[in-house]
Amino acid sequence: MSLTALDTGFFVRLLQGDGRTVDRWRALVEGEGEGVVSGLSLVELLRLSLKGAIGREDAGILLDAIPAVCRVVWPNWTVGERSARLSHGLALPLVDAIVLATALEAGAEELWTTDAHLTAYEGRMRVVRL
Amino acid sequence: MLCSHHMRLTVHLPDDLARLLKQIALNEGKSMSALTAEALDFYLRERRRRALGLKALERAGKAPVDPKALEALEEGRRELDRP
Repeated sequence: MSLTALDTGFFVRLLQGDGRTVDRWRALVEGEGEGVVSGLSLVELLRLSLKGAIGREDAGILLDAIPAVCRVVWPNWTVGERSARLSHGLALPLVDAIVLATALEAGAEELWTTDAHLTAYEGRMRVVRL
Repeated sequence: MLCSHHMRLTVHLPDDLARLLKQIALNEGKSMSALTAEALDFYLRERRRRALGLKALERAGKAPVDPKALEALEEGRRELDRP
């Protein structure tokens, strides 16, 4: 079963109704493949709602749905250490590096993101820029 | 994860389903009660997972999103890296 890592921007795009994102989310809901999300994405979505960038009710729906549909991984030392190395090696901001390290540690085949910095990664995992 | 406390519940099953339950329980060395609890746990979790996932899907394209939401996300990430 394929494992797809989803970055925070994926969920913003989902609310916006982006076609690729909607199709991917629907597939995960239908049980086609598995999703993995960094716990920091939940924090970022909550923060976006507090800033008014997305609605609070919609954020609440996502914060309920994401842990139900996907595996949520909070940073531990293994992710932290790998994040530090990725951040240093690829000159990535720390949150980007944590998202990337989470995806790699989980064994994801793809990482779906809106973040341009993450395209700096080249390796066994494919970065899909939304 | 199933709770260690148990509630007694009487259910009526169609004969075919009851036979299948008994057969699988025997094959797997489990009690019918344990297998029923396992199946119900899986079913209810799946049902919840699907319901919440679809609820998020229903908001796609309808939710109000600030056009600068992705910029706000990007800015939030940069804030943490400022010296």
